[in-house]
Amino acid sequence: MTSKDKDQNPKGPSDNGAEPSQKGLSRRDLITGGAAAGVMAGAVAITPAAAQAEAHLAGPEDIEWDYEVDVIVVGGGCTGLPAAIRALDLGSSVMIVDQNYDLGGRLAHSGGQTSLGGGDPIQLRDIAGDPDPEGFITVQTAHTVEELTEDPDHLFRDMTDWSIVDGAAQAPYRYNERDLHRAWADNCYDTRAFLMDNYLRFGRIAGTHGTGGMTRARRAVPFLMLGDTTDIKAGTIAYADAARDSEGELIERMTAFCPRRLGDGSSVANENAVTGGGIMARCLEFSAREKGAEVMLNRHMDELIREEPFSGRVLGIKASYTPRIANMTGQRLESFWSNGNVDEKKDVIYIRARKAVILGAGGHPGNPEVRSMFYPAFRDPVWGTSGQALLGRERGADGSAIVAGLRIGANLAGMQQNLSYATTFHVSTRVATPDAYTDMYPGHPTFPFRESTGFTMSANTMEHAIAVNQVGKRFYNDMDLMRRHSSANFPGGSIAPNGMTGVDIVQGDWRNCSRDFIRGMYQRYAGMDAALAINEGSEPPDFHPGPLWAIFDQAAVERAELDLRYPFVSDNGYFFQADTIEELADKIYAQHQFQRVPLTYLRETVDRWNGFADDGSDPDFGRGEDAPLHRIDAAPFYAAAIILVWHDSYGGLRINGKAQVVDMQGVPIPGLYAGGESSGGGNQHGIGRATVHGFIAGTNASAETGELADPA
Amino acid sequence: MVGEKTRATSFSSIDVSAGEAFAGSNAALSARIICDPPCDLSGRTIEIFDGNGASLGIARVVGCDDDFVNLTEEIAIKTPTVAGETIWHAVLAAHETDGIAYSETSSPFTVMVAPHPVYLSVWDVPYALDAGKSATIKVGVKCGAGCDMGGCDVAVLNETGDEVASGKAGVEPWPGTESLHVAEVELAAPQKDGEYSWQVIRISTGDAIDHDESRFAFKLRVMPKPQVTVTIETVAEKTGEPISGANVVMHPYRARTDASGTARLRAAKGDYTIVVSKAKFDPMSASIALNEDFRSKVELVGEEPEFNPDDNY
Repeated sequence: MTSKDKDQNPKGPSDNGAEPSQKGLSRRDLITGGAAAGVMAGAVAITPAAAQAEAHLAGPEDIEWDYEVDVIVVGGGCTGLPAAIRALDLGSSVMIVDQNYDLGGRLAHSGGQTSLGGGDPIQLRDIAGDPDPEGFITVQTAHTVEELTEDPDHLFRDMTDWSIVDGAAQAPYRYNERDLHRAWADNCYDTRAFLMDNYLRFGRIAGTHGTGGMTRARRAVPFLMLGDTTDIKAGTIAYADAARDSEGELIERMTAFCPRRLGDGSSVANENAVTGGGIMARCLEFSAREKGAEVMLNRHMDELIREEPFSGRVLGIKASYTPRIANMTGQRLESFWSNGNVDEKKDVIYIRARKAVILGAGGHPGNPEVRSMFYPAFRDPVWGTSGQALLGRERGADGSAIVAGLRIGANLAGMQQNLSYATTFHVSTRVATPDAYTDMYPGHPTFPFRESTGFTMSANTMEHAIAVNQVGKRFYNDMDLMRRHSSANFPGGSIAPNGMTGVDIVQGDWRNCSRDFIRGMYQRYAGMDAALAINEGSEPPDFHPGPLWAIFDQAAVERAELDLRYPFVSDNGYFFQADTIEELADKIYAQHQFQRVPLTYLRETVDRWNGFADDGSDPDFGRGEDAPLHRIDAAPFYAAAIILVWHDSYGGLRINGKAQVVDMQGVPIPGLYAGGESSGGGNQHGIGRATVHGFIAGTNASAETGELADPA
Repeated sequence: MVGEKTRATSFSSIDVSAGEAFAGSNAALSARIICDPPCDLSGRTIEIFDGNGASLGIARVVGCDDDFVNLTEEIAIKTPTVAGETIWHAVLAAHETDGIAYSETSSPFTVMVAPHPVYLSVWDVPYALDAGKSATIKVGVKCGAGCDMGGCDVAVLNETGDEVASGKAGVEPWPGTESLHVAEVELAAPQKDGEYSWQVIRISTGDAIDHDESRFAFKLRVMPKPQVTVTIETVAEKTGEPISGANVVMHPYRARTDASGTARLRAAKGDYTIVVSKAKFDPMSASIALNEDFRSKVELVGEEPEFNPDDNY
């Protein structure tokens, strides 16, 4: 189907049962009238001859555009979906281009934590104790009125507070771009309302999500009610889609609806409510498709096309076909819903954007070369990004926005801000799976890309194991390896300055980061850094540190009550069992993709450890004071891959308060917008940041006239 | 040209790769053969003989590359049961190829025959054993080359090398293992307290095939007569319910709590750190100077993830 077909076939009831909606414009649009022209400018397919300029120097004028729309949205996640819907609401035709086989991006495996604030509609609702329109919510917020009361000015001050430091003594708000956060704070109200207009039902406010500010409660998660069928309009989700049996109990089985099990919504909504980013992704996707978004999946944005290499308007994108093929069947993965899909299989295509391109293409943690600018040891490809099974290990969060933006002169921002948030890169407590950030169970089409769910080795559980590097040597206190420092968000917890939490914290007070205070609260662990250290198996020029292994024995399995069965473990090269330590080392070397060298020292390390257990102390790494030492000696023996997860990213393209990408001279690049992890200069974790960016970008992109710098 | 074709003398060199092989198993063997003058030997064979002239096998030439290097198929040849270097011969019979007569070529080569590795493991050794008391330990035996170690004999040697205990490995593999055979061996602790370094060996007499002599050292800590009793009762802080299976460690003494959440340790007087741990709870520790019987109730706090998963995504 081409874009032209779409114009010829206005959308009737779609194949997900969606009816054309009257929903769309949020409160402010209705009040102000806004820029909504009310005209649906549909996409048209361009015939090659019409767009073909005379053959001279190769340039944008020579491009045969395969498709043309008003707004191209690159990436169908928590930036792209709001951006697309907003642009559709304001009358633009929209094509969402996503490298994956389905929409949702990383939003789909998130917790759906949407931290906004500034007096947003959910804060106001919960202050009043009002019900939700459908009456699903049966609980009240746990917060006081004071903890929910604020305005955008207060939120802006929180988000740019120079004085707040996190448990790693890094300042998450100090370096935030001011123009960007002024606009972010000013648009939180409208974005929350807009999300609610697009099928998101938020539970009560509960705390604040990571780096969403210190002094007020701002987080709400979207929920659906467990029911017989999944019906976005009715607000219900089938038990199976929520990974639950008919009694509501969790099961070890997913459907294609959601990549990971949904959360328990009883504390924020209703005992029959489930929460999560999977819900958020599907609800927004449902709305976007219903409103007429064209969706080109399996399509990776490779380049941005600008009038001149470093000047003029962004005209469109070059994108390549990236189907995901299931290992077992050899079949291409197909999206859960298909209405609006444009199934284009051509290797390389060009898509023209009459108004603008919006980059919601995610961050760069999946690209070892790009992320290594922050931490060279992370160039080792052994570590994937979170959700790699869902997103695809090769192209998920691969830094494509940065790569394409730099080629046309865009600037970067906030590149150092990757170094603050404790989740950005960390040692996961989930072991024995390559995709260690979340759970995931058989049944979802991307489960075969991880093949195991993994199991939890909490910091305490590491009492029963040792952690070794690629040559089989210990490198850190194993029980501290997975501990992380606290992030700086409401109410502050163990890192709250001056013993004050929440509403009592004084914004911008120098005492918040006095040296004495930081000395007392500093809590960063360096296990990850030790894990990344150069070891005897590291080879120049990159000196890759290689994989890590938790080594334990049968006695540990019993003491720690580990459940070592499928789907938690499988023979995917991330979990091994052997009769002897020697054979365990041999199996890892033979069967793990990134185990480049033998675990030469493993036998020696285990013997040494057992000697420490005999002696009751660990002179190498100081264990034994807080928890018992246990020998590793009872067959069979086990190795579970310990995974360093690079989850998200903060550095990215510099954007201004209109979400326009800004060039190296500080000038906005006409026709180019970005948000979420494709942008930098905002150290807020997750969806709260991205959804507002998407909303702002969609608003401003729609208002573009598309005027060329050089109309000739 | 005519002169070359009628040359009467010529030879081949044979380069055999046999690698290292375990005793009494199969060695993988293949050969590269070069003739002078060059020729294609495809379809011909070489024969392998041991040092006594007994034939071990025949390998066929399966191809000849552009440089006239002839390659044989890979064949498996049974190795001797005794470890060590052994000399074999590869023989290419006299032949006439492309009108040239080649003489018989015999090329000796060395095969390294390795003894089978034996992996021993020892577990269930008490961290502390009272003087004169006995304990049953597990000794696991595994042959790295795949021999069945079921029924083999193991022995425990003391610090002077004297056998102090022995046992026989079970016929069935230990649960959860492919082929680890385990002997349960009863040890009697010496009468005098102290640290002893003992060893486990596998008795290899009667092996049909050479195996490594493997030894596995372990430490035996023999304690003086206990003087006091320590009783630890563990409950969950949240519910008050007893916690069974908790580890109570007062190094080197250790015990686990029973169904009533109670563990008892008989210990010598002295200064100790008591550490209590249990899966899904935070471990706790405390220092005590132990001069008399001691009893304590420990409330374990449920483990909080460092990050609540709901906060995490």
